[in-house]
Amino acid sequence: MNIFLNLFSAALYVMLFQNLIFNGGYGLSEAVRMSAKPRQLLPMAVFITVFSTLTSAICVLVDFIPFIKNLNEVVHALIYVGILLLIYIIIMIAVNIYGKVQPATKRRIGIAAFNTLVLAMPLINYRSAFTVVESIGAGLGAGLAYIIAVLLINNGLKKLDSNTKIPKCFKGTPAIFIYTGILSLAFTGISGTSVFI
Amino acid sequence: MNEKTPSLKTIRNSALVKNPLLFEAIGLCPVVAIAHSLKLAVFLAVVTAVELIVCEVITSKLLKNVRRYWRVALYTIFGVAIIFPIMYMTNKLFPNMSANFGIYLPLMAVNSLIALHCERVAVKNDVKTSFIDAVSASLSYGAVAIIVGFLRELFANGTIWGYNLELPVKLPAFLMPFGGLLLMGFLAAGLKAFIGAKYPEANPNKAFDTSEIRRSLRDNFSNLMKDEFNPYGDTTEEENTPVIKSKKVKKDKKKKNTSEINSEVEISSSENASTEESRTYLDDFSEMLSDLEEYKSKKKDKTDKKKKHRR
Repeated sequence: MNIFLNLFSAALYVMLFQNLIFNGGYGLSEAVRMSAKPRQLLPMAVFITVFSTLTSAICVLVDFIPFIKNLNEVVHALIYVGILLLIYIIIMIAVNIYGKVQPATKRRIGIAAFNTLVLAMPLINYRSAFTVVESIGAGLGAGLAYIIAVLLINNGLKKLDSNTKIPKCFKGTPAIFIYTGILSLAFTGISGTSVFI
Repeated sequence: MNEKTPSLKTIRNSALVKNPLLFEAIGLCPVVAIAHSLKLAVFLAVVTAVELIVCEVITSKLLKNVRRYWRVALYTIFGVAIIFPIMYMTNKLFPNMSANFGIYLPLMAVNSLIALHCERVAVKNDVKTSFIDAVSASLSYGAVAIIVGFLRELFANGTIWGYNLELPVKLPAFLMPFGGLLLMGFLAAGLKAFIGAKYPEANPNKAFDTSEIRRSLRDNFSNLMKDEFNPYGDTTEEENTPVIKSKKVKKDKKKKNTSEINSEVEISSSENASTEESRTYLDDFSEMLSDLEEYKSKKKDKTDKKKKHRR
């Protein structure tokens, strides 16, 4: 029960109270760009969740090795990138051996693996001293945070697209940035950070 | 046509019409999170420029024949090779700046700007074009980052490069990601108005395709997976296709073979197809061309043999 609560609270923290995308800006480009292609949401979310959870958990496990535990943060970051690369290589080899995978899926895996949201997870775990269970929760939460961000931005995009009162020069990315900024402000409010004091 | 035109067009496209930050929404994370002071923004701009230029040149020179899904991993390795020495030096020499960067500096090794420009330009062009693209894209990226950093530092702390201006009102909220996003929204609108006045034929909206926003996401997972996914493609591959096209035209002029004329018709018809169609096939376009060339050479050999046989 305690394990489940730890996992759930870590996921909730990363997803809602410190939404990585709106509060930290991690994976913001992917979220904004994919919000314009809603049919890519589910496949991308699945791959991002797989990579963030695997990287997150394996990096915490690697940190238990005494030799690595005593290294400084720069070397830790280097090891985390190496682990992410290794996971990607193993998955791509498995995908190639399986054979029946479309090129689009390989592209999705590439984008899902190498983005700031996935690489941020082990670094956040290291700084927050998360346990293995919490790191798995945080990895799952990162995927859910991505889904929330894409759905919210996509909903706003539809409304902005049909709004005829927006001045011409604000149509497109300017309006999207301002809308995403307001969403980010809202999530900053949820996190309890004082904004104007 | 003026010789400088393609370069100028590349610079104009990369820096203004397809501004990576303001119109393509690429590489947002570092700018939104780190660029909250002028010093950090300048540092970010320099690091991004070095990373982008090195990656594009190496990709253009060495990685054209490597499969795309391995190239994506190689960009990260290059990014790491560039970022980590910088990170180590910053940690030693400027510990305060390193603390300000937090975990964002290592994240620049997976900056989406690098993968996008390498895949879109460097893979399909020569070193010179790739270099020009990298310089113009990194300059435009850096310029926006510096402006955002300058404004955020001014509004939030009332300082410029650490020098206190003793402003009566300070808005520390601008240090947070939403401050960066709001400023970027207004900067994008300003740049869009400028482009509209200066280059009325250019359309910055093309850099961010919103044609699919109303498509339903409720579908069978296998159907969703079957959907075409082209994250590096864009609506106007102006700087890529002419290189391939010009080579083809030169070759065709030399050969004058009926089968080749037919193939030329096929290529031109595919190029003139609707933007949606070209976007769908753009990924495999170069592969198709190489296949076509093989087919042509085989065909030519056959016709030559026939001619000899007749003689």
